[in-house]
Amino acid sequence: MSAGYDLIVVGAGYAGLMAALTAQEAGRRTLVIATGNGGTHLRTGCIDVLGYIDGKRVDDPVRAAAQLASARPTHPYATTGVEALGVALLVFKQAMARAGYPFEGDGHTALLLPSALGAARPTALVPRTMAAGDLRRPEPIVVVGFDNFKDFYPALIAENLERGGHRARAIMLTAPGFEHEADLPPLTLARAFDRAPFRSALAAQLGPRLRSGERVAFPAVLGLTAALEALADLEKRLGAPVFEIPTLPPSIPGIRVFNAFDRLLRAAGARVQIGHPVIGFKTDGLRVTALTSQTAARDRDWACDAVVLATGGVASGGIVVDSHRVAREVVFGLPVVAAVAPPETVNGLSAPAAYFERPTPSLPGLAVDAALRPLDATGTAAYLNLYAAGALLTGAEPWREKSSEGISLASGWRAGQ
Amino acid sequence: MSSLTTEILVIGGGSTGAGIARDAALRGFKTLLLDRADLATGTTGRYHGLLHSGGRYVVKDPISAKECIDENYVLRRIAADCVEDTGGLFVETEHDDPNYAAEFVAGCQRAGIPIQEIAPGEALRREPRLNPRIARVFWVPDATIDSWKTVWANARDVQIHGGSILSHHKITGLIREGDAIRGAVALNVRTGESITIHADYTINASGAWAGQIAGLAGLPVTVLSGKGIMIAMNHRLTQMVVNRLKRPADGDILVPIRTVCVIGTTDVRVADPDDWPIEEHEIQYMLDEGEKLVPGFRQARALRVWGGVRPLYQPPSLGAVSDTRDVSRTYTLLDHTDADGLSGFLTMTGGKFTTYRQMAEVAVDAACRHLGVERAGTTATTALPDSEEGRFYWLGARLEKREQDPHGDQLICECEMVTRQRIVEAMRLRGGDLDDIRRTVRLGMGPCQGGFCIYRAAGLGHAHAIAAAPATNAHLQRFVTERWKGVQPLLWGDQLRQAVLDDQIFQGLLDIEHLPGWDSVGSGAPRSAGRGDKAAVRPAKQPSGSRKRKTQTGGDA
Ligand SMILES: Cc1cc2nc3c(=O)[nH]c(=O)nc-3n(C[C@H](O)[C@H](O)[C@H](O)COP(=O)(O)OP(=O)(O)OC[C@H]3O[C@@H](n4cnc5c(N)ncnc54)[C@H](O)[C@@H]3O)c2cc1C
Ligand SMILES: Cc1cc2nc3c(=O)[nH]c(=O)nc-3n(C[C@H](O)[C@H](O)[C@H](O)COP(=O)(O)OP(=O)(O)OC[C@H]3O[C@@H](n4cnc5c(N)ncnc54)[C@H](O)[C@@H]3O)c2cc1C
Repeated sequence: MSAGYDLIVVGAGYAGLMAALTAQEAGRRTLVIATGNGGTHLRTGCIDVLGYIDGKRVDDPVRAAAQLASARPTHPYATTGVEALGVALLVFKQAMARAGYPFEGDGHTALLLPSALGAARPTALVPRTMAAGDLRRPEPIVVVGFDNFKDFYPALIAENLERGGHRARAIMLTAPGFEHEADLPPLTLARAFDRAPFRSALAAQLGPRLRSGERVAFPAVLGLTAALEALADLEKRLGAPVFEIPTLPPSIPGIRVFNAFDRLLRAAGARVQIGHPVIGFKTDGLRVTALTSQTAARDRDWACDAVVLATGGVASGGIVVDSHRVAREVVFGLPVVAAVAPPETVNGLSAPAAYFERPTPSLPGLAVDAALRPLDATGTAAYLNLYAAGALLTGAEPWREKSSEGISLASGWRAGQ
Repeated sequence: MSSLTTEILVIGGGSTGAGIARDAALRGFKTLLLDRADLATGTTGRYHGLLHSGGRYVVKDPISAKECIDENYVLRRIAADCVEDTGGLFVETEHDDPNYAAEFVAGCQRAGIPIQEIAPGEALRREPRLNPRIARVFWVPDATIDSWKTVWANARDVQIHGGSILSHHKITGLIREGDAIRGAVALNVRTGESITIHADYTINASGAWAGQIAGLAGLPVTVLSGKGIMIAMNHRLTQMVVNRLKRPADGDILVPIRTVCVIGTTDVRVADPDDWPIEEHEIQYMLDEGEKLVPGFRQARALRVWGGVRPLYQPPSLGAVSDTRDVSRTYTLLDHTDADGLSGFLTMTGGKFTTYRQMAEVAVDAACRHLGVERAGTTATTALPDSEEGRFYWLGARLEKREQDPHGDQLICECEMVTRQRIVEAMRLRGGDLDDIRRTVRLGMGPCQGGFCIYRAAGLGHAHAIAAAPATNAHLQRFVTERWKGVQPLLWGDQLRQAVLDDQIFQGLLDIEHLPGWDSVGSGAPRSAGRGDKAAVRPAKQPSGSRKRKTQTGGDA
């Protein structure tokens, strides 16, 4: 058995990474174990805090989160507290700046960014690579796509932006140097943007077609490791502000966030193990004393003083539901609330809840106490030193209300304390 | 009101109607095929996918069994491109009566169905996932057949032979002159306009709705609706069709078709062919029966559930029928001239997909007799378009094509290997409605149920000027709504995880609920919709008491 860790974080999405960074930088020896990558790789790479309450767009995300927390005591923001949210956003911003991938926004102003369909999508913090996309700015937008990249449709984005009252037009190019590849994967394109010759060939094609005063939107593939450099270089070559619009997974901006966390964690001395499912745990009374993970050659025990469970709920496999509709938290077998009920059994499909009219909230998750400790069947903390964070927490409608990353960062920061 | 003239009008664009229209067109009649929705969206697009050998019916319904084996051979010849020659097994599990096998063997002999008993060990070698406790196994010439492809091939041949297709037109009345039907009145459900169709002869091939259509002529025809549900599982758990060796019952057939296998089905009488439930206990029953055929069935990923209604003709002499499974699966020709003294009109209903061609030939024979012309049917020997070479469909076909030029085109739908070119071609032909395109090329039918490919397909439709942004948005929103209906009852396991990921994409990433033209206040229902996209114009909140939702079958609200 290895020397013990002060904290083991299970899960490497926004919540787990935030918890680990918080703990490690507070001087606690921290280990991150995860089966695979989490939400970072699937989402926009922006930090959503709260975009909509009851279908109404909010102007001040953090204040709106406070309102939501007091109106709905079952919402994760009510448990984490909004002070934690404010601090977590600040900590996150500082951390990303240190890692060389700065974010903009202060959490109190909703930034409006074009979605890959051309909707005006509210968010709270955005990486610098997206900042020029804020739709409250006046410059007309040129949306640039590549006909050999299938995850981005500039004309549709532009027309929807126009109809939403923003000036926009579209340009379709072929990614230079890839003329014979019809189906470029996003990672290939992102790595191409890391290289100056690619950018210069692109700018040579695009530059002459730009009009003065325009800003230029690309799919969010502007470099994997050298995004800031790519951005500055393109802006210089094109003489126009440049920004990215996030599109289908895998999310390049999200991967950059993951990589930034990973660098910071390792630099601070934490250990990060991706690809190792946790398959068991040991206890002493009401305390978790070790976790067992599966490695290539053998199962391995890791002693610990505390555990943060951030396995991501249903989306990331932290909670599974079987065909009898029984939900299970996979690591500790904790009781799951708000399990997915079958649709009104009697009426079934003759009256399916239509997609856009679904009631709230439908995702199963864990109930926790004020210290974010998951509850057992009797309603008290299952273990004294086990905390839960992120999408495991029930009570939110993260994608509809646009709150996913805010919840993860706030609960991750709290759990890492 | 505008009007059209044709010699033969066929009401109903399922397999029966499309088959009749092709038969008539090949005999030289000017033919019009009409449906209230897209073709093959009635029972034909909601069936189990089995080209019956007839084995299922040999004991209980021998006439139907004989029809099936005859037509099984015919369709292998004329519709090869739609058929996958999987073969089928009848297996006796520990849950089945061992005495049935002898009856089955005798029945197959009587019906002329070639069967072959194989040792359970050999069957398990060929189908390793089968229940290892099977006692007896018989091979039969079952196959699977793609109903959409078949109907579209028939329709194409109608057009090739000078006929025409009118989809999204609902018959609202029949034109009666004295004791003759002289055509019909149809409502274009997308524009709201009515059109008069003058026809020498009208054939009612509207399946479970045939009673409704005959009722428009004042004829009391009773067609019962026998609802069945099916669940598509993500893999082909078996490569052959597997039937339980027992009297036909629920959940006793597993059909591998395309990339999936489908467990089914049930048979419950419902009052309204347009409004019936899929119930949780039915889903659980399918899974339990699946376990009996393939242990571990419940762990496989359930992709989508749907249901269809069998048209079961009830002769007036039969009285009330309580169990629709007891109504014969053979077809019925109602010759309204002979029976009701009303000329120019007949009804063909009941039967099976497998027997559609025979039903069509019999119907057009009767029409010829009444029209006083002698023209022989040729459909038993004339291959459908794309089936001329007699090559069966096989699962690797799309991959094989792709391998020849792996970088040549984009894979828009990775699950079903649908390329950009195919989608754009389909859209040029059929417009940008993504649900229509789904049925045409299987877009979005795989594990992700459209999570990735639907954004791409919408973008392509827009980029190729097939639909402007408002229509594209409406198509997307409608697709997502439609998909949800078939996925919502199956939210467990990997499919639940997928549904959450898809939500993350549609709502979280794309913010589909806040596209321009949508009401940003309230639940985000669309304010305006694209051309005729009925599902998208529903008011935001339906009163919870309103259980009638009829948009599914294409707008007969
Ligand atoms: C659950 C289930 C599983 C089955 N499995 C198999 C199988 O594996 N193999 C097999 O061979 N058979 C199977 N069958 C039977 C087979 O599917 C049907 O017999 C066959 O598809 C019926 O075709 P149809 O053209 O007569 O009816 P439909 O396909 O229902 O066509 C009727 C058409 O009429 C249209 N219509 C209705 N009203 C109007 C109107 N007012 N105006 C205009 N158009 C109208 C409808 O839109 C519809 O498209 C199954 C049936 C069910 C229910
Ligand atoms: C042979 C075969 C193979 C298939 N393979 C696949 C596959 O690999 N992947 C896949 O995703 N799908 C598959 N399907 C299912 C297919 O995608 C459709 O779900 C099916 O054809 C029904 O059409 P729909 O979904 O357009 O129906 P919709 O009209 O969208 O209906 C969706 C659901 O609503 C319910 N419903 C429809 N009409 C009514 C009504 N009038 N009253 C009450 N409830 C109603 C039905 O239960 C239906 O399942 C297959 C279908 C067939 C016939």
